[in-house]
This record gives sequence, C-alpha cells and structure tokens, in this order.
Amino acid sequence: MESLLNNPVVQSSLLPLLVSLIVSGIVGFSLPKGKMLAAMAVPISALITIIAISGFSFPPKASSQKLPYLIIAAGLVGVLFDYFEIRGRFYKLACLVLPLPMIVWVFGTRFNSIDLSGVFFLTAVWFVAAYALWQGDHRRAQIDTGLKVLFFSGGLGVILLLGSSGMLAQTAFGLMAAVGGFLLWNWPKFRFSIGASMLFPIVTILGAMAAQGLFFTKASGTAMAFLVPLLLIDRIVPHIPFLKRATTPLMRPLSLAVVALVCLTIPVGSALLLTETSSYGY
Amino acid sequence: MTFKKLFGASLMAATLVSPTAVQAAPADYQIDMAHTNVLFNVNHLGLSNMLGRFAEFSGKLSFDDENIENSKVSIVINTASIDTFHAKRDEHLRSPDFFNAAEFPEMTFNSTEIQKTGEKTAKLIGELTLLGVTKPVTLDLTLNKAGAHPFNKKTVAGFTATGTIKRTDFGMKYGVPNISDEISLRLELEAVRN
Repeated sequence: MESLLNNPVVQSSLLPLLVSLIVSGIVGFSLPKGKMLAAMAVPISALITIIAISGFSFPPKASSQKLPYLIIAAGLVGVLFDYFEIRGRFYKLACLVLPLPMIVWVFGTRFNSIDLSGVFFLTAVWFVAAYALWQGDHRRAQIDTGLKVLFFSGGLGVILLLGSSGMLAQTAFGLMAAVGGFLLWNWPKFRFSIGASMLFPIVTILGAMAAQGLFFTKASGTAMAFLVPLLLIDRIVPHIPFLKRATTPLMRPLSLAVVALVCLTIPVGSALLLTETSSYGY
Repeated sequence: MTFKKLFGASLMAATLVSPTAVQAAPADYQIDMAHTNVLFNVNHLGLSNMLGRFAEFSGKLSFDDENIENSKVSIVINTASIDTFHAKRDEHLRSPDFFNAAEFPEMTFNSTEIQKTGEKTAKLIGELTLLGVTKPVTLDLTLNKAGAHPFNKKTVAGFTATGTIKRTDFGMKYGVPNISDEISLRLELEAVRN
C-alpha cells in the first residue's frame, strides 16, 4: 500500500480522483446542505494529494510548502461562503481580495528582490485568479466552471513539467484529477453545486503554483498566458456552429471539453517550443 | 655580565618565546579551491548511488594545528552550482522539487564545535542551513596532513569530512523514498595558511 502511494502516477491521478469521488458522494448525499457543500471534496482531495507528493512542513519555509496552508485557509472561506450562501457583492469582493494575501504570503520577504517585470507577472496572476473566481458567482448550477478549472490544471501541469518541476506538475495533475473525480457526479446528470468550496481553494493554489512556476522554475510565462482562453470556453462554444447546438447536460460538457482541448494545444505547444532547457524525461 | 643582567635577559627571552610555544592561536587559512570539493551521493530507487558536487562555494578556515578543537570552519555553497554530470537532472535538482535554487540560492555550514577523537580524527559539529532550515550536523573529520607544502613551502593543511544527513529534515521531501532520504556528504578540503 505504501509503495503504491509512493508511485508518482498514483499520487497525481488515482488517489485524488478516488478521494474526491468518494468524499463528494458522502458529503453530497449525507449532509443537510450536502449538494451545496459536496465540492469541498476537491480541496480535501487536493490537500491529501499535496501531502502525499511533497509532505507537510511546519513552519513552511519554501513557497511550495505553503500550498497546504493556502488550501486549508481558502477552503474554509469557501465553505463558509457556500454554507451561508454568500453571493453577489460580497462574493465578488472576495474574488478580488482573496488572491492578494495568497501572493503576498507565498512570496513574503522576497518582494524586495522582485523587479518591474515580476510585479507585472504577479499582477497578471492576481487578475486571472480574480477573474476565474468571479465567473463562479452565478454559475454554481453549471458544469462550465469545473471544466475550466479541470483543463487549466492540466495545462498548467504540462507547462510546469516542461519547466523542470515534477512536484508542481504532479500537484497540478493531482488537482485536475481531484476536480475530475468531483465532476463525475455532475455528468451526465448535474447533482452538486460548483461553488466557492471548490473554486476558492483550487483557484488560489493554481495561482500560487503559476507564480512559483514563473519565478522559481524555467516554466514559460508566455505559455501560461495562453492558458487564459480556457476561462472563456463557454463564450467560445456558442460561436462554433456544430457545437452550439449541444445544449443537453450530456452534450454541453463534451462540446466545452472539445473547445478546451483545442485551446490547450496553444499553451502546451508554446511551452514545448519556448521552455529553455526542459528536464522532462531525463 | 652580572647575575642581575643575566636574569633579566633570560626573563625577556622567555617572555618572547613561551607564549607562541604554549598558547598557539588558531591561524587563518585560505581555502584552496583547486583542491577542495563538496561532494554528495544519493541512492536512486535502490539501484545506484548518484554522485554529485557543488562547483561554486566559498569558505573560511581557522586552524590550530596544536589543538584542532580550537579550529573553526564555515562554508557557503551556491546551490545553483549543483553538478551531477547530467544537465537535465541538474536543472531538475535546481527546481523547487529539490534545492529550490531561485528561492534559496545558498546553503551554509558553520562549525560550532570540534571534538578530538584520535591522533588525526575528530567530530566536526556544526549547523547546516538548507532551504531556510537550520539543523545540527556531525561530520567525521580526518586531518590528512598539515605542514609545509612540498613545493612552495607554504604551510598547508588537508582534511576529509564525511557524514550523512536526512534531506526531509530540511523540508526536501519530494521523491522520498524512491530517491533516498539519506544523503552522504563528503568534503575534501585543502587550505593554505595566510
């Protein structure tokens, strides 16, 4: 069992997928507000995955050691927002504010050594994270946000893998699997709300990982920028003739997935071309 | 020469000579980078022991050849200079998975105590700071040779220090146990007296 859990492939696929699937099923069908809170299975699964991959450090010194703490903090905020059904103005305010302490805490005293381009990159990460969170406010009953996070995690994982960090890449793939495990309950029949319980912690650590990738690995910033269209797949689908007719709960996620896969070719392709010296596959 | 003068001269001579003979202070040495290596090896999947070194470092040595326990050593290592004779693996080792060189560019060792264990051996006790975490480390120290250099006649000293650390103690947890937790360290140091 221990050797199975030490297997990198299991750590970043089967483990998060199964934990997320099982926990979301238990929470979703057993708690009074289960359908609204089932998405908390994703950060729980992500937390277990991160600890399996890179351990738990107290106190955290490196920025990557802060990921479990970010998940817990943002996850608790998300659960509170879902439990008390906080939406509208306060939700949007949280979308803007939440990524800020994440960035500040992850980089800490190293802010002194960040130059102008670094400030630009961090501002971009903040903006994209806030936008991803913002989108989730009125789309809790749609699979769209879940799919965006799923493919964004996968794309970021590939870019980080090419950028020489197996640990961050594995974590991103683990997030993808955790989101996937939860989404299986929502396809083809939509069952559990996709709310702040999932979005707050997952978007927060995706932002933190993107920032770490930019500053501490060889990962391509340009490739990461090309991930942004993934947040717009629901706006792209209506413009594609043969996909816009796919509106059923069975077909709409598939059409979104097709667009997301096409969008992914650009960041993945550019990462392959632009990453200086990839250590992948040595 | 009267007895008084003779006694005075003897006293002056004794005053001038005896402090250096009895209380030999540690002398500062400059580390000879051409003959110093910071080496390590780590087990990979139980299959092989991968060898590596740090190419860039600096240090200070204060050595007392009369009493090694008075000596001190400190070394600052550039973590980005890791070299395992494989460029792609080195890039990975510099990443946040392992040495996180962009975030923690330096690894330091400062001796705190040296305990003599034999004619030419001692325990070198110090603090190793890696990834922002400082932990005590004990190395087995051997004084290989100290004295005049055979060619340039400068006073030189050569040491070997070996030991083992657990990388997880410093928060380097990725890949354990497939890539072993225990890292064997070896310091081969040669220094020239200033």
